[in-house]
Amino acid sequence: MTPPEDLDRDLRALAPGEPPAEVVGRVRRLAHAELEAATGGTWLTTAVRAWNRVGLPAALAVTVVGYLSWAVTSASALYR
Amino acid sequence: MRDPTERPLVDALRRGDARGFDAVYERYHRRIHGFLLRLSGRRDVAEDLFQETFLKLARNAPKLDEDTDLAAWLFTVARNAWVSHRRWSMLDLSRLVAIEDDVLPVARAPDPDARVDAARNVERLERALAALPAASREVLLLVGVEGFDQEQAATMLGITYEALRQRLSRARSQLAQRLAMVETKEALA
Repeated sequence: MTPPEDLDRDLRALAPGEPPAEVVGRVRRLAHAELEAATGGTWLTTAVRAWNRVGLPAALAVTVVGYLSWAVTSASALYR
Repeated sequence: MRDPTERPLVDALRRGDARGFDAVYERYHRRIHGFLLRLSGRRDVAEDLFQETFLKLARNAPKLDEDTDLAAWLFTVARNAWVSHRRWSMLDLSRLVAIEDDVLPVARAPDPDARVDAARNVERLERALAALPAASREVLLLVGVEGFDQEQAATMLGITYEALRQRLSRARSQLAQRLAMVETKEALA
């Protein structure tokens, strides 16, 4: 049986696995895009993110509340 | 132990510097890919998990702590991605599929005969590793191949130091037995 110290030496000597060049390039490109998005990116991406996270939900909430209050007002006017 | 040359790389990542990312990528992409390939035994799975690992690094770059150990971080993410993949696939395919022959390069040896011997030894070792249970394989890959110390490996695997020592000892003897079996088969053939 192989002695433990020889096993450790052989394991340490195993070569790292080079991925295909196409995979290396693709992952690098995707990661750059993620990195840019994660760290702010251009003013446009910041504006889009702000709109998606704050502007759009706020606009939706205002529309819903406005519509509901109009509906209640109209219904109560008709009732009277 | 954390590599002191990593501090500037972590700082660059935290700033979102693409060149900093490239330096980290250059330093670790072969090791992470080799680790995932040996862990999963499948090239397609290894490539998917490899991509997942580095995209996660890019996504989390601004949130990294200043004293992040990048090697430990990346190998932990890679290993967790594999664990999660295994859970989803509901079947440990790595025990059914032998590692592909042409995937991993053979260490260079000075003369042709020595190179053939080295290639044969590496092939035996790769096959014996691939045939081990997943828990044994991952501990040998982290400690034996990647050179993490046992405390770091225990943290990465989410187990106690004592449990890691036991698992490592069991894995080493399983690997030695597997290698002996391979050698016996070769001698009989």
